Amino acid sequence: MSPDILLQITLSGITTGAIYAIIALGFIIIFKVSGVINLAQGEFVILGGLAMVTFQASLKWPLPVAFLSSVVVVVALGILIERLAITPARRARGAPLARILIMTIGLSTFIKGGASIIWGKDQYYLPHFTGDKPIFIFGATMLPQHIWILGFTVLIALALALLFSRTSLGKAMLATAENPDAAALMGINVNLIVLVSFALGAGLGAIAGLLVTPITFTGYDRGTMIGLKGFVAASMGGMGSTTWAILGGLALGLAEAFSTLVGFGELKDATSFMILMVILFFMSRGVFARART
Amino acid sequence: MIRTENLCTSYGYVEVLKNVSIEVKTNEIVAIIGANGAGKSTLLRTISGLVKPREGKVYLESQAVSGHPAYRIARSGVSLVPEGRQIFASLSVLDNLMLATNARRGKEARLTIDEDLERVFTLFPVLRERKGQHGGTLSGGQQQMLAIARGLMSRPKVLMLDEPSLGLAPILVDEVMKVIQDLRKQNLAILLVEQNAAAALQIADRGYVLETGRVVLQGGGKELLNNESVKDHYLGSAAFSINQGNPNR
Repeated sequence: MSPDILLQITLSGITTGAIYAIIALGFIIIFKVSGVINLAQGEFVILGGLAMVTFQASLKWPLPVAFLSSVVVVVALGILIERLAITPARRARGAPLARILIMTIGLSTFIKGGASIIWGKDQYYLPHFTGDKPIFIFGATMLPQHIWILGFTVLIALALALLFSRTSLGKAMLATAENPDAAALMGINVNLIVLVSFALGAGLGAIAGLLVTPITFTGYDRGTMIGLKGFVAASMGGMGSTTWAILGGLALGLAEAFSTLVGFGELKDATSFMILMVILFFMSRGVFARART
Repeated sequence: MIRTENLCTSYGYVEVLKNVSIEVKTNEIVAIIGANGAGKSTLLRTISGLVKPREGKVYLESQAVSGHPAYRIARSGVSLVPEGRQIFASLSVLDNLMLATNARRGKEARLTIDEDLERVFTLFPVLRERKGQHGGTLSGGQQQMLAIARGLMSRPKVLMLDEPSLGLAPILVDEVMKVIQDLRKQNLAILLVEQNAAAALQIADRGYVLETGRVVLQGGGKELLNNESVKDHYLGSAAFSINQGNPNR
């Protein structure tokens, strides 16, 4: 085994993992603040890419404008979903977590249907942000898009660290995550904070979709798979902290990449789900311990 | 300052409060005493908006606030120091205190944050020493002090305390009660819920006795302290538990 190939696999694992990490962050922020596991998270990812297809490829908007507009559209959808579906369901006292979980599966199917009406059943791709001329690093190659992905991941991690350690909004989110009743007693509008968490989760999903579409293609029905990968990454991190979600994402990306090495190439997706099953068998209490009303 | 009128609260089909009417004026300490399950905590949770009343009203300075969500009631100046402290264990002591300033409205109230922070640090010097530490690392007594300090940081007109002596060593109970007594001078209406009836009635101007969701007795603090039926039902056992907690006393 040549070191070049190992480096190549590591690099590609890290970039795929970075995408999983961003999606996992969306999962975790929504879960921690609202107690909801949002299985429509993958649809936010796909919609980010598809909106970009419309804005950039069809309408020929410049990249930054199309990028921001796509994020805004998906965030708006996240807000709408939270207000029209999640909040009413959370307000029904004693509504078990499982009921809302099933509802998010319904929402994901609903969004898929909507997307197939708007964008049809074709597969789409997007131009790379800054060309697709490979860069050589010690005998391995990387695309500029990979650098964009890693750069955005670092940026997002830093921005979230600042949000939670330096801003009163971030502190209010942490307080709500820990004890919503006590947070309300502090004058914090808990429903608004939950809304913010959905907006943030949707936005992170959209950014992941925008970043990854140039190298993977996208289509209306791709959300389930990529969303579940993000969920596996979040579970690997124990559904707890943002740092662990990022590590979980990277670990999953690397595991998938190295599974190709041992002849698992066709079973790359299966690798993720084997990991998920192991987590659910041995850590299910850890992952789902935070049942709330 | 704050007044409830025929407050009724149910959990499902269980009626917990039945026509409870109480009042607390500014610069007054009012104690609610009663056995476990008498509805004391539910009364505070209903006033604070965490639980919606089925019937009846809560008035803050003659304005009806019942039915408002808890965060709005907190913002209008009613602060609850909840049972079991419920501080944010994963956040620092300072963050805990600053979070309560979310309840402050208006520019003037925001300008006095530093001043008020200084005031609660003077009141509880240990909090200044530990302001960078996570709330969860504090001892039970320190957490109670943090919870009270946090309640004050919202700059309330009404301060409600739910069992502030619960789980504290007797010497700390005295300390907490002394702090509450001192707070009376600061233009606060204080509503104190206690199972430790003796400790509460000693510092209270007035008191209400709650039994299975009804007010069965009310009167001055000293008056209730000397009331035969209160002595029989609430003071005997409370006094006993105090002695048990500290055999050297």
